[in-house]
Amino acid sequence: MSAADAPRTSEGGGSSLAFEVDASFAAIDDANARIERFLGDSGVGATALYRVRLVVEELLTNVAKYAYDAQPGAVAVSVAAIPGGIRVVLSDAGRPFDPTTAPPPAIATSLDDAEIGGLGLLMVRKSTSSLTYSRTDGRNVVEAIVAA
Amino acid sequence: MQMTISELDGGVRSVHLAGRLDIAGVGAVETRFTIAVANFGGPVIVDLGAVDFLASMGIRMLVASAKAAKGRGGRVVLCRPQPAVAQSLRDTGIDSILPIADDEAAAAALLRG
Repeated sequence: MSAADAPRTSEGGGSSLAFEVDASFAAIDDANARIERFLGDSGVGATALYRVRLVVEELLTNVAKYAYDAQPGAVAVSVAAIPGGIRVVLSDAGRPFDPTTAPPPAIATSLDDAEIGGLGLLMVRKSTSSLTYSRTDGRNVVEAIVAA
Repeated sequence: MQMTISELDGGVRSVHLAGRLDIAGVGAVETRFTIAVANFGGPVIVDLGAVDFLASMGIRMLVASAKAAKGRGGRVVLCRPQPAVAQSLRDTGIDSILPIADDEAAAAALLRG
């Protein structure tokens, strides 16, 4: 573990993890591995860990696909254990995108109707107890809370 | 991410996936999976028993292959999803477009029925 992503104790007494990765598919595994190492020590249950991995996977996939129009860019990730859950905050300086208002895909009723893709944000919504977005200082800031 | 193929009685093929079906896992097996499932043209069981994580890219791969298989006269049944994976299949409505069986025998029965 590098010093850059060492867990630190926040003012509230809880611990948090913050780091930055490239907005690329290749960086997603690395981000989730760091988060898992951090949360693995904090007594978080398997279901919550799974949901955090899913939320990070899907939100980072979206950022990698769309935020920087395939140009290089970075995304800041922070994770904190909070009372009752885990807070994940992702922030990028790419094009404005609010995942909380993106229309959900139509649920297919037959294989023939099934659209291929577009399910990631639906899975994020199902996995979080709260999902909020703000555009702050030219950055997309998405806060997801996963219930413990 | 690992993938193995076995041929069962009655012309049923079983494709066994193991690992995380996330963006990296899909990248590792998608071409082989598509050939094994979509190009086969017969009944296929996709055994998810050892898949411990399923992201939307993984769902996309499963649905795309099942759809292509159907176009060639094949059929796909998913089998043995772990609880969190099964939850995602329900959350996304995939359970209403692809049959999901508890074990290989039940999956084979669905395909022969």
